[in-house]
Amino acid sequence: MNFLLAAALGVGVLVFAPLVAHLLRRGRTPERVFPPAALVGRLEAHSKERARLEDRTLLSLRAAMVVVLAVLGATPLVQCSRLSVDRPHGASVALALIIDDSHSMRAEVKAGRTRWDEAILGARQLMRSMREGDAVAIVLSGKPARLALSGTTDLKTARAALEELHQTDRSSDLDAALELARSSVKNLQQPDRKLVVLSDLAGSVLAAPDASAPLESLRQPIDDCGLLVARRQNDRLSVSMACSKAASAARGLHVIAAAPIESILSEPARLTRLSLAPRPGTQALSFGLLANAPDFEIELTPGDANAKNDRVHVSSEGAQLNVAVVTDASHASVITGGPTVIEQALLAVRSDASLRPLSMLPDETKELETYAALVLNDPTGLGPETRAALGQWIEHGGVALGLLGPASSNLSLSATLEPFAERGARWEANRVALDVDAASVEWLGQDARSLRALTRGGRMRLDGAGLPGSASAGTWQDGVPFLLRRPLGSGLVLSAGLPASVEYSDFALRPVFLALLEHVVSEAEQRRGPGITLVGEPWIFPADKQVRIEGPLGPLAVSAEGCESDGNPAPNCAPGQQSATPELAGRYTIFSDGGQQTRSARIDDHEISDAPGSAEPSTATAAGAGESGAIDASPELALALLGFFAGELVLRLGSEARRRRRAARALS
Amino acid sequence: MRSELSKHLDWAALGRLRLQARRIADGAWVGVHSSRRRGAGLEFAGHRSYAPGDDLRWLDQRALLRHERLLIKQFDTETERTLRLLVDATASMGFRSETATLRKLDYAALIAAALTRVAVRSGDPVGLDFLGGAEAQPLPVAGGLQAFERSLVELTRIVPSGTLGDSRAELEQALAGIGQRAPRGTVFVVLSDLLEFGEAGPDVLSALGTGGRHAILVQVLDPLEALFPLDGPVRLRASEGTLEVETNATLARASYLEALAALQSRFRNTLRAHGGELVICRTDEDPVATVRAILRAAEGRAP
Repeated sequence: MNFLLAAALGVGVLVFAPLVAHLLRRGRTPERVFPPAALVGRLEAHSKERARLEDRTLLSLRAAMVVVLAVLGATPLVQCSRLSVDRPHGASVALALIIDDSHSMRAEVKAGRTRWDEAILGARQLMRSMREGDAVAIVLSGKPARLALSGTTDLKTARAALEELHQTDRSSDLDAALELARSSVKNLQQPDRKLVVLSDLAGSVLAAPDASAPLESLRQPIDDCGLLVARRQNDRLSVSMACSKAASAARGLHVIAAAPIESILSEPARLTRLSLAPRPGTQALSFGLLANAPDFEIELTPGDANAKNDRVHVSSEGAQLNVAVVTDASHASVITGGPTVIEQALLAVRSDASLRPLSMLPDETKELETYAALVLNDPTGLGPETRAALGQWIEHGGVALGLLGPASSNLSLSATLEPFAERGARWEANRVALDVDAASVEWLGQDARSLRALTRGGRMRLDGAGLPGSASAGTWQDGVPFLLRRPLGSGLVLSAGLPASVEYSDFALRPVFLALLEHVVSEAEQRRGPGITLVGEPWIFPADKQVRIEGPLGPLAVSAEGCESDGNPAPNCAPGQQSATPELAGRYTIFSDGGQQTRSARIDDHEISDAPGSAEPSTATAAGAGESGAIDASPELALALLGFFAGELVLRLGSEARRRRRAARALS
Repeated sequence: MRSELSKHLDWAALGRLRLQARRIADGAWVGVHSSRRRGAGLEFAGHRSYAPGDDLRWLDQRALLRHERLLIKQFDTETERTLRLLVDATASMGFRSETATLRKLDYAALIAAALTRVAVRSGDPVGLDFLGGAEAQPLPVAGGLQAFERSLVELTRIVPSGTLGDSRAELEQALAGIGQRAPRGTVFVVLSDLLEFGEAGPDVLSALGTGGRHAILVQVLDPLEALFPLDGPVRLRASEGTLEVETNATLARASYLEALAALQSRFRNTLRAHGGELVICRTDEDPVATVRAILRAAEGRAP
């Protein structure tokens, strides 16, 4: 601080001058002896009251004028705490704003202001400090990381794009966002490129040398507990909740329903006695439910820093991922007994899935409706009624995996393998262990390399057995299809050329089998679903369906491949695959092709339990976009000063007129 | 004796007062007056009907025999008129505003001295009494230049202090012995600001004018009190008592002047009902005019 700045700000000390003058003036009320004082009308109360009201307002105005004058004198030397772009070389800057739109940013850090509000405010301040020739890109770090605005020098557009951003309940994906931000400014012409992260950095440490995280206020610990999911499993209600490390007050659960609580819970008193200690991390609760209990919501009380995660809906529909497994236990079980290999593998993939071993396929669609996925091991053929029911179920979003084996090649006269394969599929006995082409199944991830020497007694030849619409999703080394993929309506059919039985192959014992089941389950979740997915995970729908989704805040946008125009579906377009991504936690109703289903999007528990992260000091200093900068606010201050003067004038005129009227009334 | 008196008397002031009183009295001199009254005397003036209580010595027996009516004989007589000066010397009379040259008490003393001079030259006896005040003694009724000199001494020594009671009983007690002992025909001149007499003031002071006596109230006001030329917020403190009033003088002026006029009107009406008169003067006015107004009032004319 130099002398000039100190002197200018020193004028601010005179803010006390009006106060002192006021006190002196009040103390120096002229006093004199006047014998006939008793004949003088008393105006004491009115004059005191008027003096107080008038003087206070005038005092405030004059004090404000002094302060404004002081700042005006110090401007533009005064350093404001608002964010601004640092320009060490004075050249144009390419700025990538990484704004965290994850759920944790919805927590309140000040009265009525959330982290998101603070982040947007910081972004606005940064935008305001940008000059002509600067470029800006906006990246949202909610999972998956997205580019909200590609690098542009049109600052007006950038500001408009910033104002259109909104809060979501997504998880956080900061690493991907940083990569996206780097790539968005990499090819820009500006010599200085800066990445500014406006995030609470929940659970992470920002160590990127080219990024800065200037807003420390976003990283204050908060007292937050939230409900993640409430599942209804037959007669049990399972509730998952998470708390932050800074959570301190005990919470309670309340049922919100139109029906009395006695018709919902078997032990309602237990809920009223419940007092949840704020344990950092997640915890699970379980309650007994009465049969035919209606839908209801549960709420966590009292409220905390983030009220958006204190309430969750408990629905009877789609609460769980149901997977049907149709297999001959005598062939698909391990020697030690217990569940079949398929069931064990499915439980390893998704422990929360509900498995239903079936001895035979139902021949009515209604019986299949409760399942999201179906694994059929070495079927002996499907009869007409079964095929019709299965086909209809798949078209409505079911995902079926057929593990075809020797039994599948011995079909009776009326049975076929549809919808998995045509009758042309045949079992080929072969003593030589065959390999699957790892490259053809790379989409299954690293586990694809575990497909060497897979066969033990033969394989199902699927070449020429593919039904219309089938495509090879994996091949043997000799080019024969190993896995067929066939979208059918809203659903999906996968046909593998090996059964799960260990008698014929090691397929079920290889890691790739788990990857394949994981794929089946995730496809089922997306298409028919357990009803509960993480916020930000897309829901995929077939292209030939009219899909409409109603979410917690109204309709949810559905996008179609190749039919997007400015982010909105274009009319009169034959779209490809349709998808929608829920951005808020809550319950969604999906209307597609005359059908209706309910899904829920839940919050990632890390968004609540992870404490705010930190930025390494070297990171913040290296980035160079921070909370400093000379702000010339002279025009605004001068305008404010003018306003104050006008205000005083109006106040004086008004108060004088009022004073006269009141005095006249008092004396009369 | 003289040295003892010097402790309490400002001889210079006394001389100045003497000169001023003479000047004023000379200016106001209206000639020797005849103090006529009917009653016992030398020159027959007629009859009137007898009233119970009349002295039976003046019963006209011849008229009784001739007309069979009880008649009382009346005579005109040359008599002296006693002047009793009553000077208010309470604390409020010590007030003098910045623009005034005299305190109200000083002005009242000047008027009293001039009236004494006038009375002495007319051969009328003069008595002097004070309401409140300190250091001075009331003077009994006496005539001659000696009475004038003694009046000057006391008027010079008087120091304003004390208060008058608000209640009627207190006021009557303060005036007791002054009015009752005065003979018929006595002219009472009360010099006061009339501000501390309260509600009972007009009645009590007017009572001095009963029983064949004549009462003239002279309200002495400072120009500040008479005109109230103040402006803006002001805190006013009464010189007697603890009364304080905070007001806006500009806004309160009209109402004050109305209240003052109402007070004067009350005194004037009550006095006139008893044959008296109210004379209003300011300390910045010519004292000659004031004395003339008092003398006119004493003769029953408008001041």
